[in-house]
Amino acid sequence: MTQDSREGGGTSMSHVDEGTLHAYLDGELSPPERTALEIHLAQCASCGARLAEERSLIERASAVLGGARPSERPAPPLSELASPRRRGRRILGARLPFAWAATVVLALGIGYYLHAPESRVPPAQEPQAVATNVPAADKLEARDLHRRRDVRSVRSREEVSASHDSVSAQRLTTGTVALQTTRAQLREAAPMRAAAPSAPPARSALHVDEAIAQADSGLASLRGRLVSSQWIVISRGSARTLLGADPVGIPGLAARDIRRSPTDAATIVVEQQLDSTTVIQLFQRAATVEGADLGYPQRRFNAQAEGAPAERLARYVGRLRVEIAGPLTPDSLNRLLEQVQPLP
Amino acid sequence: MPEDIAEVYRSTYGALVRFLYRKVWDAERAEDLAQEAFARALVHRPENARGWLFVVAANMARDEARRAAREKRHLTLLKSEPEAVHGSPEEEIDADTRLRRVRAALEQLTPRDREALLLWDSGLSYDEIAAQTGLARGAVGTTLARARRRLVEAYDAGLAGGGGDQHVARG
Repeated sequence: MTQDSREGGGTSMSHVDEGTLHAYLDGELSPPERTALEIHLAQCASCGARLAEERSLIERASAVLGGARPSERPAPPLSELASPRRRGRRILGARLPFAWAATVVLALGIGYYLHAPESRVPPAQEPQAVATNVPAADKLEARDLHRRRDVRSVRSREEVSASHDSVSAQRLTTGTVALQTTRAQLREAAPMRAAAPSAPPARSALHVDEAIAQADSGLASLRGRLVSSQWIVISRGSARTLLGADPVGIPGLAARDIRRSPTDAATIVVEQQLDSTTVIQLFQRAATVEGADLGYPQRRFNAQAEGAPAERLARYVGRLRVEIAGPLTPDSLNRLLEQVQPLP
Repeated sequence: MPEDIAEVYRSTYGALVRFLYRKVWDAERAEDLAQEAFARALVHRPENARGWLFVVAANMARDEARRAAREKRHLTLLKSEPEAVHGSPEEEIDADTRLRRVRAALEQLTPRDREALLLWDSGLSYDEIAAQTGLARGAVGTTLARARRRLVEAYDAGLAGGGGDQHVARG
């Protein structure tokens, strides 16, 4: 920048380069540099003229740039940026569908639990998994959203969905309450009632009502089945023998336990903990063993068979057919299913 | 939240939005990214919040630019013309046309010259510009001098090109 002035040597400075002039005009020269420059400028008319040129260039450049400025709007309060609400607001495009999906999964969960008990773990664990639906799904969703940064909604849409969001959140909460009610009934093995549960939440949404009705109608068939539907904990070795291959799981997650079906020895389930409160189940069996051949209906195998296409949550891993179940959105479950590998 | 970030927010938010706007050319997007940058600053609490913010913002804008690459191709660069019309008052053309010309002129700068110029215009010091661009501190003045000259020349060349719109409005 100032090589000319520094190397000027002799009695007087040589002319100043434009970089130094700009630095001077920008107020970015050190005091000694500035003093040296000003001494030179006082003696050198041509540099004085160039200084004036550079000054007008800087002003013009600044004016040109000024032609490209966004309309200035007030900054939102900093505290708003820090709050988690902002994150929710900003990605509502993705969040709203999720809220609905989670609600549907809640309803499906009840139906599944009551209608297909034979393919499930003992009831002692089941309520735990379902009860954590909301926070666990939220956590996963937050991770998903990092990947979905490009999915952005326009402002107007955000505002519209902001109200939806609170409604959905309310539904989720309500759904959880309803589930707890249902589970309490199950635990006590209460006799089936024709009417809806004793204290339905006042704001209970329609789909939750349906789920409860479904739950009630399932109670009769459930009684007496719970005991016989115990899945037996087995060792890795046994699982391998039953499957003819290594059981699979989601890498990086601890395998909580491996169980085999009480009714179908060829089917096992690997249970893994996604976090402290969320359990994922991976039902698996040798791919060559078709359910129909064993005289055992496909829908019992598949967690969501009652309400969703079976193939959605199943895939083949090596020689195994694997299906996934857990208190997460189908989307999230699918993603997890894609990661499944033979357990180390 | 740390007081210093609150202070930086007050003093720098507008500049950061402007900086981003001149990269992504979308006011709402620029605000979004600026807010995101501050949200990250609140989490990471960098020591030199201002410098950090501009680095983060530049990175976000770069990612954004890749995404918008297709759109960018629609902007035909203005060709420099020797006879620049000096002193054409910018006020005579409407804001839209002017904006397109500034954008076209900026895009004729080298990335480093442009970055230095935008950072300077955002209020960063030579030291901060040097840290962010990798330029030697002593080269910042020269870089800015060149960037300013080219910007003005390209802008004037755009004006001299005539109505202006036909250069940039069609893709």
